[in-house]
Amino acid sequence: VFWAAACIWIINNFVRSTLGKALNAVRDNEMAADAMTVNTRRTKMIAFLFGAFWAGVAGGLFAHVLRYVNPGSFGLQKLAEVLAMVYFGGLNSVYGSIVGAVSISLLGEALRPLELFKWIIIPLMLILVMIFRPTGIDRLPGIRCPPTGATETNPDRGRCSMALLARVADHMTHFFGGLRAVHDYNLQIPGGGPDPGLIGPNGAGKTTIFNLFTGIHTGHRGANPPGRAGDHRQAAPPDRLPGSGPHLPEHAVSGAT
Amino acid sequence: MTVLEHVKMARYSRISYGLVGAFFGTPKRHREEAAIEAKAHTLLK
Repeated sequence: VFWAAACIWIINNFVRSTLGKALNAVRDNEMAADAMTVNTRRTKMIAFLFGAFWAGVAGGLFAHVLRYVNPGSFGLQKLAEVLAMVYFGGLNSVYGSIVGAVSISLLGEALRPLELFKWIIIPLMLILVMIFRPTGIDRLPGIRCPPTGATETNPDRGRCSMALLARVADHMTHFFGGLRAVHDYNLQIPGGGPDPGLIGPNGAGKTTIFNLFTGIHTGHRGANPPGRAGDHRQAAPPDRLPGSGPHLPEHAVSGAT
Repeated sequence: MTVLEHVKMARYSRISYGLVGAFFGTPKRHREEAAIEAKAHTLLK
């Protein structure tokens, strides 16, 4: 119990830190994570060593309980069982893993009278979970968007964030030197509306709009260039423009939409 | 990952707490994380 509690506490601490979030960033898109200054090689090494450490602890405890270790105990069936726990509870969720481990263990015990048939029922349930709840049973619908408390029925966090961002698009304009990349862009999406999409040819300014949303580019409000009537904010200084000046972490931009 | 987490990730190379801080939630880690979050919120606003 002590080791289980310690494991949960340490993993929970780690995944909530920015260092831990780097694991998610590398998993989602390694190239984008690298562009955001994440040391991808170090991050992958940490993930491997961290997983190996806890697997070692679990193996040590397993041997301590059974007082006997045999490679046969860690065959394909054990691998499938552990993977089933993770998928069943929910990927990328500490509590989902706990829910999955407890559920599969209890289910295994409850189906013990069926003997071999339980290995038909459990994978069948796993397949149903993967079809109807791909993110696991831990992720229930109706998540809340932290900044406003608005409810999004779709469990996809990205969509929720996009809807929140789109509400702040208020007559945005952005210049790269003398080039007007975005001109008086305005977008209002009512709460609970359809998911927005941004379509345009190459060079239309899609990426710049996203960089304005996320605050990477400062931009300014109004249709006119900086310094003229209608300008409410200063444009980005020249040293923040891509390709000019040193590339610092806070200057990292999204390279593609 | 949320938009806030993406923006926070841009401060990755400025983090000075190590793995011990990330694992055990040291006061230094909490201070730095709070500063990163405040900076990210400012950028998003």
